[in-house]
Amino acid sequence: MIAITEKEIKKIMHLIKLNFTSENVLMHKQHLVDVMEFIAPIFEVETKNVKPMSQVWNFELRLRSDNVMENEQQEALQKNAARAAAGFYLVPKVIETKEIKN
Amino acid sequence: MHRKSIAELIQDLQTKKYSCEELTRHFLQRIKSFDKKINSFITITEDRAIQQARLADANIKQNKNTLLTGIPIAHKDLFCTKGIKTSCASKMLNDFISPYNATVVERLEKAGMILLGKTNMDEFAMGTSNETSYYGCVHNPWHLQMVSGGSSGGSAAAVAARFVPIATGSDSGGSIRQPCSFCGVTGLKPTYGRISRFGMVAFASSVDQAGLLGSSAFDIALVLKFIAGIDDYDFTTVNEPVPDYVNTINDSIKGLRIGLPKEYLENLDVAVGLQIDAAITELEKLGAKVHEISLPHFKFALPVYAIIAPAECSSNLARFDGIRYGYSCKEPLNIEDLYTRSRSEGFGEEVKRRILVGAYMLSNKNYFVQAQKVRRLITEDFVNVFKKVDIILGPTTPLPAYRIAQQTEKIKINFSDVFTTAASLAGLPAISVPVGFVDGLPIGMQLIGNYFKEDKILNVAHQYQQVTNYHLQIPEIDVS
Repeated sequence: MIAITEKEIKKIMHLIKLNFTSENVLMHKQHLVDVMEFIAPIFEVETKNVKPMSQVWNFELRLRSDNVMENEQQEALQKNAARAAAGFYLVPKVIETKEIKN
Repeated sequence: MHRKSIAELIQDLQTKKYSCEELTRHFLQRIKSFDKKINSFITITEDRAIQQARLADANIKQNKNTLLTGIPIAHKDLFCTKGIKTSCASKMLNDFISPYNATVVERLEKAGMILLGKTNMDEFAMGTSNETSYYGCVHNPWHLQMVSGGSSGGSAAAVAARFVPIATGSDSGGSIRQPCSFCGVTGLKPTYGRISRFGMVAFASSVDQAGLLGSSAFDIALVLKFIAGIDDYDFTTVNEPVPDYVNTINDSIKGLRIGLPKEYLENLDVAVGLQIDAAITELEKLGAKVHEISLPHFKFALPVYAIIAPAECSSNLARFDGIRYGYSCKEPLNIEDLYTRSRSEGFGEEVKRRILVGAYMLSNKNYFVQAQKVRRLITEDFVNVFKKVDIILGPTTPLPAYRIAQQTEKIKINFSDVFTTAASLAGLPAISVPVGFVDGLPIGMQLIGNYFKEDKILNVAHQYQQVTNYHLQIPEIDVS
């Protein structure tokens, strides 16, 4: 049985910006335990001299000349935004303001 | 018309037996009449399809056509289509209108194919039963109470029901092959890097691959060359020559070396095993030789996938922040609230679960790195085996389709991908071909080929389909 705490789940929830109800936290905790048990056999495989495989091919980045390939698409792209104005995406205020005291 | 192969449709259109518009209207009518039962489409692009068909008719008349001009197609709803909703079957993208076409969409549009609509799928391609779609599950045309499989379940069901002659799909761990097995159609996952993924919404980038689902290997061979090949917009495409897959599809398979992994046969369902044995017998009659082989690390493929896919998904889906596109929560209190509520309200439960699992896997580097190391061992098994055999054969799925809402234990469900995941991790091409029925439900055989040997597996699949008729059988969806 792999120990996963509710605290760990809540920390990850914060990092991935997802809210779960407390009922769901328990459900997800159990799911993670199940997954950890499911994957456990791979840790018994001897891999000391094995190189990790992150991609199928060893891709080399193909370079191209630095030319403009597309026309201005700002308006088209911003049509999918919930809040946009004057070419900007709008978000709630992120800078805290402090009252200046004399 | 819907019973005809693409080759027959091409012949009929070019000899003007009927027009592209008549053909398009026929398929649209079938969708409108019967898709209420199946739910294989999210969006039907009727007006646009008719316009495209009229243009195709004009092009044929002026000899400006390609081989595929006027042939209808449907795209899985994760391929971006300019001006048309691309939802990924998620509330998150329910209102998303793509400003550009995916390369696959662009190339087929240029070839003159007619887009009938966008097909249903598991949300963000995460699922194996099509039950995670925001738009409801897809019903298997062979038995409406059964799942279609997933994640390309809408494409598989639409082809099985003959709503469309061919459809695109994507496959990360079996998402083309598994629903093809469940719905009794043919589906190809090409080599990783064979087809551009530009404009295909990412799930797990190191395994995602675009492919095709059709009624036969020949139909897939006809369309594949139009979408295969290098793309400046996707640096993971490989600069390998693209053959005309139809040129070699009729080659004899006499002397073909088929590898049968002993690991595939352990604990295999008897009824499924009988269908696979019968298929092997047919291939042997055509001159193929069967060799027992071993893939010693095959048993680790699902656990490795259970780490790599969610880890990559948690990273890919971080882009959905409620700001630039996608669902955005109402009246956010602050930036944190905007991110968190938009994602929590926009994603479905399965997607959230996978993001959570993926983030957990990435929280300890030993999990992800060990999975990547074992992935290499799985791949090396294939490389060694392909020194001795030409293709690897086995069942696509351990069982036929199961009942909708039957399985709730999510890990258990993924066992339907047990035979498909290893080829995805290795990046090899593989095709699922219908080989019979178990309790009235279709079952598929998987042929895995060496890198860029799509021509070989299409050749073997086609030769098998020349001596069998499972791929020609159509479910009776027009009987109420």
